[in-house]
Amino acid sequence: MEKRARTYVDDINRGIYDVKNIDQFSYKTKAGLSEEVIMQISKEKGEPQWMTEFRLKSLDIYNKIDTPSWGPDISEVDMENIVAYVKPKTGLNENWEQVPKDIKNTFDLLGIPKAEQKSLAGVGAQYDSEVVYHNVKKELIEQGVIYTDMETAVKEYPEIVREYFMKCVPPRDHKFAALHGAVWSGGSFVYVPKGIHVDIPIQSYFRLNSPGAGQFEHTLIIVEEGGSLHFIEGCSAPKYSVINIHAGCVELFVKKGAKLRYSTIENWSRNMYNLNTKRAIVEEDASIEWVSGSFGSKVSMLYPMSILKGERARAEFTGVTFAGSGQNLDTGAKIVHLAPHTYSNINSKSISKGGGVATYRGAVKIGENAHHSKSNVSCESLMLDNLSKSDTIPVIDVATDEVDLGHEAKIGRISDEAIFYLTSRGITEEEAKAMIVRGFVEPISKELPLEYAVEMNNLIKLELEGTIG
Amino acid sequence: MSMNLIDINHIPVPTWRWLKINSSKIKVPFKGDINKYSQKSLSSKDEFLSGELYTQATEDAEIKKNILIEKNAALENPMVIRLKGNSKDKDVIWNINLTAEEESRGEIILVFEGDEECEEAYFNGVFDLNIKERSKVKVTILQNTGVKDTSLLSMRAEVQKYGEIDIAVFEFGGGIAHSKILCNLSEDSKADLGAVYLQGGNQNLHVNYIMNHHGKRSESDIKAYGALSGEAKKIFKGTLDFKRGAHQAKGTEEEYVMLLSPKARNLSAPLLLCEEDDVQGEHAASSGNIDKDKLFYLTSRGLSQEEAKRIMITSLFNPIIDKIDHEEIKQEINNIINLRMEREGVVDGL
Repeated sequence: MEKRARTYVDDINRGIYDVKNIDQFSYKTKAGLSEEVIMQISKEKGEPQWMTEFRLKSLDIYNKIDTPSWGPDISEVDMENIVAYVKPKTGLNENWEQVPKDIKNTFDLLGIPKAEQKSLAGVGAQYDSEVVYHNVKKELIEQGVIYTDMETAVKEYPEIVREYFMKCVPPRDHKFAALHGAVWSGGSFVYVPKGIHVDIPIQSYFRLNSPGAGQFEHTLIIVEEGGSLHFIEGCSAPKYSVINIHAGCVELFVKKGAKLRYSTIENWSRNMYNLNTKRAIVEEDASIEWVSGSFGSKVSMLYPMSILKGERARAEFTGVTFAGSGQNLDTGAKIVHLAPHTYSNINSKSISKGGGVATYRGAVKIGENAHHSKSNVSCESLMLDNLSKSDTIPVIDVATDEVDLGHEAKIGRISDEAIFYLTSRGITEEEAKAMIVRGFVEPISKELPLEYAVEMNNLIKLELEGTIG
Repeated sequence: MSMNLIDINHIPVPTWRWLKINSSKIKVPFKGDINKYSQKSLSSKDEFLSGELYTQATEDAEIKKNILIEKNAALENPMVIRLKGNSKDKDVIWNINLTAEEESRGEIILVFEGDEECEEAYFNGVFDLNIKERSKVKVTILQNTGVKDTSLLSMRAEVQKYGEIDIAVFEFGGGIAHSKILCNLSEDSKADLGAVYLQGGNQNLHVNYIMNHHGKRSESDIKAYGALSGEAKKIFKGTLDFKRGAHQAKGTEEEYVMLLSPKARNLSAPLLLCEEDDVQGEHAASSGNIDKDKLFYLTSRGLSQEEAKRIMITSLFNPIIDKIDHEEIKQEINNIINLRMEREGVVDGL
């Protein structure tokens, strides 16, 4: 009987991502959730009354909703032990030199300032609960583009913020949206005026340093009629033995004829519960493109949702999820077609190894008015051993007849023939496997800016390295 | 008899509640206290429509059959079992157990019929099969209950080493119809499931097909083809589950739905669950309106729109209908399809 070889790979050294700074802070709320904690956060930020009331209402909703009855086990998340707010020992700086050395060091190692110099139009860096660095190129400001941290936006652009804040993802949506509404802190506000094309990407990077804390950043992006933008989000945290939670929220409003591309490389540490909510409302002739790489977290529940509200609206989702030892990454995408002639495409790839659990969870809902819509979903799962698990749970709901809808999914392992071919050309078995995995995720890496594609390939290399069993 | 609201037809892995696909609530008649039924088989909801329905079928069935095909024997002719509601006995509760001993062969055909004089009949049953080593069993299920009837069917097949099961299901009837067909596949076993559904009016169909690959080199194939018109609503859950250790197992799943009216509602959840890397698993699901190019081709050769659409629908179903050897049943199925299309027109009726 043919014995089929297998590669068992150990857990990896995450290098720069695991750099820990001393937990220094200027203010930290006590662990747990209460009206008192909420009021303290609001006071520290000097917020207007309407935001304080919004937070308190969200806390009320949070206490009334149940945790989801499906998906990975998140019973370990006990908000009574999580510190919702950690204010770092610095204010908002516009110059990297002004950022405290240890914080600046972390971002230096992650390549953020360098990336800004070379290829970005604007950068925001968040450390624990507050944004510590923000800068946007002069040309953009002159065009009327607003890129600022969320707290500043609440104070300086209240009319816009009030109109949009948590209207796309209301606190009632689910328990962690309500939690977010109560304790949100930091994040970015981007406003692109009519007809303005932001040619170079804008980036926000979120770094959670404090153990046992939560990261609740809020990203609100509005692209007005005919505008376009590419926004990049990066996140990471060093590994601790206590859990951290990320319940951020991303709300995207893409107006008529506008284009928005939202790229994320998520590399939270293996003690992080990543319960992020991302949603876009896409108007007539507008489009949203999601590019998503999920490598970190202990548990992830991440399903960017696109609501195709206007005729001919389009949504594209390209994502890769890599679940290693001890990880349960439940990711996917949701698309709702509400108008005629809308189009969606989901291309999801997942890899699991060393006991990791990778789940694709999807939903494509075509409403009764969405005639002549098209949707295509393609899921591929690569399993690198038989210790892991890979599940695909897609749901399609069609309520009209004039549609064109297709869905396909495949699961398998790296083919022996492919390995043989490469090793017979002098490549080591390790390198052959890495090449094949890189090729598997190529549709995603080619959509990312170069630095991120390189980072993603490095992450894959790190994940695959180890002794061959 | 008291009516009780129970939760049935559970998806193997639950997902978002707003999709309303995790399970269904249904009101069904029970003799006496519902708790007696719920407590008895708590784990049965994984393999059957629900614990309560399993208990009702196995304990309260008036139609009970135990079929044994002896070792090396082959049933000469297919065994046809007809179940029909009648005005005296509106409830048809049935339980069939089949054991096919080693190296035996047999074919069973189950026909569920509605009765025009007996509306709102209730059908509930469990079909439990044990297909032993190297035996082959063919199952055909023709569900043609009335449009106001409730039809509930659970089928579980244990397919042992080198055993084979070949299933063809035709879901035409029911006001509310639920079907759960589950196969547990051992080493080198095979399961083939072909399903056809034709639903219109206000019909509600909810099917749940599960292939559990336990053994090495087990193979499964699910093909489901349907046409929905009127305001019919259909939920399809198809699961290929590769358990750890099922080396070199192969599973394929395909669903195609033709949508014939703007008010029909089509939900599909093709699940692919896997704990074993050395497998091949694929599934595909698609749906759409009648292919306009093909329609044009047929009408340009002189066929009316109606005739052309009918040909397209019947040709979609033919691969499954062709699995049946029993000529009369095959004819019966074709008649039902033709009658429905003639009587109510292809587009809005059915």
